[in-house]
Amino acid sequence: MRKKSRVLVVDDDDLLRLCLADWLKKDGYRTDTACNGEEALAKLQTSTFDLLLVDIVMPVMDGIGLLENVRAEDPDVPIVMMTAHGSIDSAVDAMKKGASDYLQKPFDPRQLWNRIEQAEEKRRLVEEHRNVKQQLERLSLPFELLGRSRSMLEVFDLIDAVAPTDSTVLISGESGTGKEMVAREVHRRSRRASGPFIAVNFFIAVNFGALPESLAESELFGHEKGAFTGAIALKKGVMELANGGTLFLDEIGDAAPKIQIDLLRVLEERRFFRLGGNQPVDVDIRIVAATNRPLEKAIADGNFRSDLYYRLNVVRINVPPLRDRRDDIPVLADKFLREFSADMKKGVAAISPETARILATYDWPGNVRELKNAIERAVVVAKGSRIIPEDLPVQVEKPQDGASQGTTLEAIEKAHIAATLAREDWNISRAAELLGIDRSTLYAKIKKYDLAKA
Amino acid sequence: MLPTAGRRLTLVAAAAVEPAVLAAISGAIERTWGLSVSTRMAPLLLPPSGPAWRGSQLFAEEVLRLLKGLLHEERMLALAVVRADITVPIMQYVMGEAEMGGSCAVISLARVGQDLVEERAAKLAIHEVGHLFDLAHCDNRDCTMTPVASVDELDARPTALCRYCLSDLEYRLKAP
Ligand SMILES: Nc1ncnc2c1ncn2[C@@H]1O[C@H](COP(=O)(O)OP(=O)(O)O)[C@@H](O)[C@H]1O
Ligand SMILES: [Zn+2]
Ligand SMILES: [Zn+2]
Repeated sequence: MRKKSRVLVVDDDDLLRLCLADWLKKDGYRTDTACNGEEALAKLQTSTFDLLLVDIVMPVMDGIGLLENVRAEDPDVPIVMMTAHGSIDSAVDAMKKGASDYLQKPFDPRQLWNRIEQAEEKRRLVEEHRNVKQQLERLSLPFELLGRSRSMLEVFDLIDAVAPTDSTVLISGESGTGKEMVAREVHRRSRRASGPFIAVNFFIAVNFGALPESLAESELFGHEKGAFTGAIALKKGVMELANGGTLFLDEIGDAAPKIQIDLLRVLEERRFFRLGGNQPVDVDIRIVAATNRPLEKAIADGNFRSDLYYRLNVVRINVPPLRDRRDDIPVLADKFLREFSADMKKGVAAISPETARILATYDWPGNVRELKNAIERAVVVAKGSRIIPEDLPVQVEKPQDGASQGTTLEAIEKAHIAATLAREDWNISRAAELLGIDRSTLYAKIKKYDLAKA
Repeated sequence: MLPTAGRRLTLVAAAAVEPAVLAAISGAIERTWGLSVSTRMAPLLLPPSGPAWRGSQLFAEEVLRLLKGLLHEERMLALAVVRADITVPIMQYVMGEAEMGGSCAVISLARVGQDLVEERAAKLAIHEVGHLFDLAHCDNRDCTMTPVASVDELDARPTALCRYCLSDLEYRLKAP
């Protein structure tokens, strides 16, 4: 049996209203009832219906009033008017005002079925037409993500191919390559575009939140009132907030083992329990995850569940490092220059050829983010209308000299760590990766050298 | 074997219905649903006039109400066969009526015509008993739960459940 539509029956006659609702239930429809136009409007505020069956003569707000109110908001929902015997005039009036059809009471059963089927069919066609149209519109949106390298053009194609589907997407790539932007493009070009885009960063959740696991879980899944000390009211987690939209799970490789299990369940069932809750919550979300380190290695090391990996890795988009797609550098540098120059109201309009050469050959370990930061700094310090090499951060201008500012080995290490942290905007995970050490070692060095964020 | 097997149903002839028709109905219910059927020629005490009637049509609800009075066991089912044309308030007529997931149902012989009365009555009965087991109407033309509004449609309707309804039924009866 196919899943049937939701029908709202609006009639002031209790007997007829209930009788019709029963009849429709027997036909497999899900029904709700209202005894006048006002009650119907209130129900329409909180639920959606695929079909309205509306009596014309009712107190408080009659069928015509309801029809006009509904049509002002929704030109498409089928509304079939029900008239008493011999009141054809008002039925004709209703048709002029946008009713889909009318039926005389008592109904001929075959006629009722036919009218409902026609209304459903019309509705289906309108919806199909709208979906196709909207999807075409969304796919012709300009990309906010820039790039003209072959590898980025491939990324664009992949985004357009996957956006209209509800597939889970796993985006891989080094820090700063634009993974979050890719996720946002997937959302913007999907049917969920008008729904929320919610991002959760597991690295931040794990390292800076300093949250006990249950609090991190409650961020994700929400909690019921009284689920734990301090849970003074029901709180929705990001899973619920993202309902109807896209949930972006950034740095998924940092998710705690218990959270990995919970995520797996959500991916499989699209439902979960709030902390302290015993009623499952159903959600309609699309999940896009990102990772800056190879999950395959994390799996081999026993830090990431392979079953979760397979659920996430349905469609894989790999964003290559900037040094492997140097064609994109001028386009990106130009865009950032225009943006920062406008933001800071500075008339920096160009990049000198020598600067452009440096930008094109530098290795960009921090990828697009580092390029963006470099241009920002250059615009801040630029004295003229062009950016010259001296305006660039030192490690970009003279890469080989970046760490040689001290005499002792320790001084060099300190300077190099400080520079890397500054460049990575104190993102510990990324800095640690670039430095080739693990995070706890980096934390220890920060303490040792008494480094602090400027 | 259907999960409905073993339940008992009382077939109540509320009017002078030919024994052959009653036999056809009870045989069909036994075959299709696996119920054990006993027949009672107990005319229901239908009021000859009043709010139970709309003109010459009898409200099905009234029959179901009287039928319920005959049941003394909780898991018993009952099906009445009447000659009068029956209806529900919002409809011009119905050929049968049943409580969804309930215990009582009724079919009318008023619209089955002169021919094939046994076969047609049996089909009406099979369908209404399906509603007693909480089956809703089915879009599948090859299914006895497809709704009909005329004798032609009734003749085209099969006597067996489609596999979707069958699995639906199994699921429902297994659920607590
Ligand atoms: N192709 C691109 N076009 C324009 N801006 C980009 C592009 N890629 C990255 N950026 C910018 O670079 C910064 C880092 O991108 P982000 O998506 O946060 O990277 P990641 O998630 O991979 O660390 C952001 O400010 C983003 O706007
Ligand atoms: Zn039916
Ligand atoms: Zn069926």
